[in-house]
Amino acid sequence: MSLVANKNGDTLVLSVESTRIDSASAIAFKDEMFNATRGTQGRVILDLTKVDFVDSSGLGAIVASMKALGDAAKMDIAGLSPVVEKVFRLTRMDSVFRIFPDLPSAQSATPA
Amino acid sequence: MKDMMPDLEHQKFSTACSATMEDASQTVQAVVSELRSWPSVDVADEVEIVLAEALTNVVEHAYRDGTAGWIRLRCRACEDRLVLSILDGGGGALVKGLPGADMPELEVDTSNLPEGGFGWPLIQSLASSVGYRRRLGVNRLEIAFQLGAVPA
Repeated sequence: MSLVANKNGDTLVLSVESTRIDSASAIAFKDEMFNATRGTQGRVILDLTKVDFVDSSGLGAIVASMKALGDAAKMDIAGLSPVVEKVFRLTRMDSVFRIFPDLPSAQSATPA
Repeated sequence: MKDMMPDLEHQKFSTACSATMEDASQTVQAVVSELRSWPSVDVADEVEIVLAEALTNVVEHAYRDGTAGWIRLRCRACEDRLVLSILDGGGGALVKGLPGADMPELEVDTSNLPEGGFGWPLIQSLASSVGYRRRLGVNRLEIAFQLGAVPA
């Protein structure tokens, strides 16, 4: 699992460089997310452009990462593959996160 | 993970792996890659989600005592159905019945959002049928998919 962080003003972009967030990698992903977002305020964009697949363990790790932000920051998600989009839709997690088709559209959107 | 033994003429194959999250993940990727080469199969995305959840359940629940377990997988397509059979020698975690199909409730405070409980509902919502039986200490989960249907 590898995560690349880019801070731009109040926005922290976290790009996942691995192709899968599944039961084999969910714990490592969650640890990296906790480390990368510790003390973060403002907006976090989780960029999943390179991720082909997320299972329910990966989804749980994404939710845990969002909850760990508390009231200090808000997490949006960008770049869902068709399979990942299906997992978000079937679990209705697409109603919990603001989801953007790609990173540029997330970056240009007005923060909620 | 063993090499896959494809039999393209009859559109079936079998494979096996050890009951670890890493091996299960590799197996899911290998199976889905194989299925994408089958012209009649239009459910590779659905299989990827369902198989990942089913194998995770075996590793987490059937072999929850941490024993070095085995998983065998068979896959066959015939006419309008694709059927996955997943066999393991772990405990009978499912003998009391398959978990329900309801997704966890999301109408809660952010701090109470569920981080699990999505696996079985995902399986139930994407498969056309799910059957389970335990015989001679072997769990057998059979999951069918409708081919040529409108996707969920």
